[in-house]
Amino acid sequence: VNERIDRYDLAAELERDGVIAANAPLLPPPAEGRPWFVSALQGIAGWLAGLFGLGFIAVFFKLSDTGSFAIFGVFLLAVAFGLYRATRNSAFMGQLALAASIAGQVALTFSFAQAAKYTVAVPAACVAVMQCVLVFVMPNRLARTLAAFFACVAWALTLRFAWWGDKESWDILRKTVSLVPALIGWATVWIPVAAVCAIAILNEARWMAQPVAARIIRPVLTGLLLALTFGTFASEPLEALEWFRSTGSTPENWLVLWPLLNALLALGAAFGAFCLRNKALLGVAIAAALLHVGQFYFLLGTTLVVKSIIMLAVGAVLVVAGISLRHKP
Amino acid sequence: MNRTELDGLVAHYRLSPPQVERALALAGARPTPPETTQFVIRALLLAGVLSLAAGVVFFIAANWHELRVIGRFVLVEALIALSVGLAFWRPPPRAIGRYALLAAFLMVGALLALFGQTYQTGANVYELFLTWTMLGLPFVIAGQWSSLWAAWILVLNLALGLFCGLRPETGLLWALFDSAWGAPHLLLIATLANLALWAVAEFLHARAIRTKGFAPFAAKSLRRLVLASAIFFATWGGAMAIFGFGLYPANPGSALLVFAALIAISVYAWLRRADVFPLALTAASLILLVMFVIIESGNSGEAGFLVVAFMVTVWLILSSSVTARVILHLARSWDAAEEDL
Repeated sequence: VNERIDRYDLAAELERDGVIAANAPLLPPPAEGRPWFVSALQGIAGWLAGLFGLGFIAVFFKLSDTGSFAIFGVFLLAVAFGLYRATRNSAFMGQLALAASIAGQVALTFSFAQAAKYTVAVPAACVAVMQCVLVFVMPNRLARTLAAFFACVAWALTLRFAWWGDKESWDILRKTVSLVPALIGWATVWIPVAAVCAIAILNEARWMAQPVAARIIRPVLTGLLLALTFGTFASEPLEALEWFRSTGSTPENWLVLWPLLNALLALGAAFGAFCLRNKALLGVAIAAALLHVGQFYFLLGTTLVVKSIIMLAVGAVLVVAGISLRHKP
Repeated sequence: MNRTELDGLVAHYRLSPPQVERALALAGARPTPPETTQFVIRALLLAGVLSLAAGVVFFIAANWHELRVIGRFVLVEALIALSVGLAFWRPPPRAIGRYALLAAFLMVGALLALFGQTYQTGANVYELFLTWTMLGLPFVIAGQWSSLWAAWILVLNLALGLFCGLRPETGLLWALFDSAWGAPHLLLIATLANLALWAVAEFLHARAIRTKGFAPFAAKSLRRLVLASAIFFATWGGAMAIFGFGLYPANPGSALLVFAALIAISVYAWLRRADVFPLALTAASLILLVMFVIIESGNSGEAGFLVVAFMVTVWLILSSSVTARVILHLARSWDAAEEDL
């Protein structure tokens, strides 16, 4: 975004162009925009506060069964909704609402996990649905961004555990997973998310023209792009730690390609951030891409020589593509 | 003008989609086709060079027996020579020269890793990163590129983290210290090293503004990166001083030193009135450290947990909301003052 032009200059330019009428009402004072690091600080603090708050409630009210966690979860989410609605411009109430919302979500997640007993896919699917509902219900930007992010994470976990099972989770890299299922599994989770982002960016002007849609789509787009950077780590939550207990040889397992595909996805998110002129998100995407390559190094499933050949081939393709694009008239 | 303001303006004037397109174009909110092409070319080349370098590092780490030791050394050294040759052929600030020097810098790390792997020198890992930092510095300076400096800063901080945080008590650098130096104090040294880099970057930035010149090390993102590294080490040291670690019990004196360092950074940033980022970082660190103090000072048992959980919740909500309010207020007033000038 052109940082030199402010909203009043832009309004004047639009008036000169005849886009807005000369007697159009004056712009009200700007809404309180906040730098990314302030949002990050508030988000992390709100998350921690929610976890400690839930810890306090769980011990104080001696919550243990599915029903009590579910009741408190719904109650806390209702409190968060009420606080967001009632106090739109209070930083303190906003943080209180965020903490209540996080505590409510974690409490409901506990209740889903307890109800489903020894499976991860079902509670993960329930969490994904809950987050999708929160995206539309919670009247707050940060809450919507977080909900969109965690919806993607929960969706990735759902498919991962539904396909490859719970009992084998820790040993999935000790089993053979061929290339095609590995690629289909990854694409099923992440290509729809990437496609939604691309569609939203391409149609930005259309939904910006509908303020109600813009209030939802703008934070959701940020959350989805964030999911394409760091949410992708949820695709292989347990295998990432497998190298800690690596002993002996492991069979060929093409899930090992996922971090590399995630790195490419992070580069795609970087392009999305560039299109939206979002420098902070661009930096996050680059950092995530580098971390995914680091994870690719550690994951078991194939030899380092094969990984090396893959990296060299990918590097050569990227460099040749870059050079040929550069010399294109 | 950011996207939030644009959304507000569009909603206020009830613009139609074509009118929104016009507003986006006037605000420069969308990259132009040449900008997009340039971004894609840069991203492809940077990702490509990094992938190739990672491929070489993976290959060295694989310790492939089909290739003899001499072959491995020749391979890595040839790549360094090729990269330097390319940089001489098309010197920076040309893109080829920069990418070639980035590759050369990364290959220096691969060469050191290969040397350690082959001859089992017994050197600690931090020594590899520290030597890499020193040997790679000429390439970084010659590169005149902030991305190359970012890579150098990351390698330097890895070395500092491994030495100061893990305290290996071995190697050349340890000769400057003794066993009385606990991890919190060593981490303060890492903090000071990054603060010194921050000061250099700020000085170069001020000089670049004065002379209308260019200082790749003084890019805003790099200044923020070194400061974030400094605060990270301070927070790490503070956490160790509060909780105690291994042979070293909790040390309130060291914790106070960390608090003093963080407050000093905040006061300096407040007086400079240039950027609210340092204030946000130090505030985040202080919020976290005070939370650790509350947790550490709590009693055991159910009643103790209840008190700690309640106090931490209240502290986090209060401190983060006050911090956000103050920082947003400062950001607005400093921006307004800058516009008045």
